[in-house]
Amino acid sequence: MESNKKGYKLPLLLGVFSLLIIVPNFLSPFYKQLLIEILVFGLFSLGFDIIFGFTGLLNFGTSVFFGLGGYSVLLPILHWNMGVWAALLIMIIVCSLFSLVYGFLISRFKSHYFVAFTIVVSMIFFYIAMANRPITGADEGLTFKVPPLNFGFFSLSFNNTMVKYYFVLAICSIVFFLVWKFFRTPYGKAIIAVRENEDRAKMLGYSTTNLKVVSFTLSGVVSGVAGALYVLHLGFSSAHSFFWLWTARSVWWTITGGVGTLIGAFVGPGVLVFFEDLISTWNPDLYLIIMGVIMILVIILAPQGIVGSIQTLFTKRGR
Amino acid sequence: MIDAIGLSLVNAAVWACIIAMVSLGLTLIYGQLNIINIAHGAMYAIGAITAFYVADFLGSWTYSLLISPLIMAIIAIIIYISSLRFRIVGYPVAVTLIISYGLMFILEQLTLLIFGGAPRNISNPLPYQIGLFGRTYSVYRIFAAIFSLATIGALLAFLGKTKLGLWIRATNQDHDTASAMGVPVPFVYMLTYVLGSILAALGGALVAPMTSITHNMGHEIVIDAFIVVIVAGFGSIPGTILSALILSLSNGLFSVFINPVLAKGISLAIMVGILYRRPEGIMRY
Repeated sequence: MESNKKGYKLPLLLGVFSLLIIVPNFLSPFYKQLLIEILVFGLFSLGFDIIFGFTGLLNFGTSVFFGLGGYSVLLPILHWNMGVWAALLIMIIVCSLFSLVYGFLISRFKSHYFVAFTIVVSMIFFYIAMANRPITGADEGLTFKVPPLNFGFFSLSFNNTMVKYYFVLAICSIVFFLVWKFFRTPYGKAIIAVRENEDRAKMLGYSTTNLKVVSFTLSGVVSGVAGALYVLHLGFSSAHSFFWLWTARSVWWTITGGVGTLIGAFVGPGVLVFFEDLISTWNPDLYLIIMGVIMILVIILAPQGIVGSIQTLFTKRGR
Repeated sequence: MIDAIGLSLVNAAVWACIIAMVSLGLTLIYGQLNIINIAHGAMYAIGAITAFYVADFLGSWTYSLLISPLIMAIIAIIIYISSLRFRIVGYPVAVTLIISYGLMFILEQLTLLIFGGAPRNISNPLPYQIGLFGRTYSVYRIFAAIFSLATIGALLAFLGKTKLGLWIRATNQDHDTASAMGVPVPFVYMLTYVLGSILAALGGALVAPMTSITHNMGHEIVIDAFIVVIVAGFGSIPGTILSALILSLSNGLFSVFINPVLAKGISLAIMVGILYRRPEGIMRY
């Protein structure tokens, strides 16, 4: 938002982006997979950051969109032999319609009511998905063969990890860019105003309900895209993608990266998933304990997250 | 048919009492410390696992009604002193949520290391049956329900009649004024956290003979307890019991006719519907 930050932000972003394009070519297949996961989780956290960091609503049920996005891309491919693009289009339509209606229904709730509502709705979806084994595969899940990406003249197979990686990277970058642009438009800034002071935004003549619903829908679609990418990456989806632990993970990633910074949503999983892998190969028994301790330490010592702390360090002033 | 429904409803009522007790622990902690204690489920599991070891080593499950809360109290004090006291008052829910989520990780992994991943069972401490609707029903479950209700009553008496209870209520209303009046507010916070945790552990110890014990058995009950707390309206004890009854009875009723997992989803949907119509709490007008 501040103009003095633009000076280093854009070159930094471009630098990281070009690294993300070049470096994976030299990595082992395992780390390529890990990078794909980081990007997908980053997108999922971005969805949470939009609704929490920019709108101030603690949506503790983003796993609904994660699961819904996954299934609405899986089922058309599995049953109607659709291509990836068509399935993604269906997914976006399903997720935006669902989150629009859902957003309207719960826009009047605040604070812990909002938390309760969203977490329980995600659990309802979890139980419904668990109960309908023929459709969703319940806890064993459904496996499917991802069709090749069709570009008209040629098509690329998902079996090639680099194709998958660039596909995920491209979608993540586009979504990130769009969201970043969106919060620079007057409408996006009005949403931030709702976070800062809802009553004042209302007094200024904004329909805060509409603003919240738009932000909720955006967040839902972004989370849905993340769910779809995750399913395309694994070739598998199970009812557990609706379970609240997924939301909790995205909350943790976002807070570690830095709430309300957008890029923090990718930094968080980037650091944590890599770290998780490092510790779990060192000692699989202790790793969750260490992760828990890190989680608590981050909250106590650096509540602004990694990006937030760095920003404070650079601008030499607290928020 | 009527016997199946009747038995299912009785069973659901038993569970409602236990859920109400566990939910009260959540209410206490949320009302006082503004923490949505996600670790509550892990504490519930620890209560059950302690009961398993008590039954294993001491030969009788009965002692666990004392030992489970005691161990939980020690753990809760350690948790409070080591982490919670740094980030409590005035911090947003998301921050405390993450702390308790981290705690859940730690507690769950510790119990997994000690207890192992395989589900285990303990034998019924009250192996008697009574006739109900022409079938038999475990006496132990009825005891568990009565014990939970008695615990809720004891908690009410504690909050209403003792000096510590007065401190808790005073701090809940206004911690600054309470502090000015000489109430040791940090101690009260710790006490509340310990009390809430004890209720979770007691719940776990009570259900240990009824279900299979696993290290992650609390993942779903914590959501149940949470929605019960919210629907009840914070701190309303009749509301807590009523909303636990609604959740549990609707679950029990539907699970006679349809897939139990779907019944669980429907009962949660009913709770969401109530919350939607009555966000200020089920008992408040």
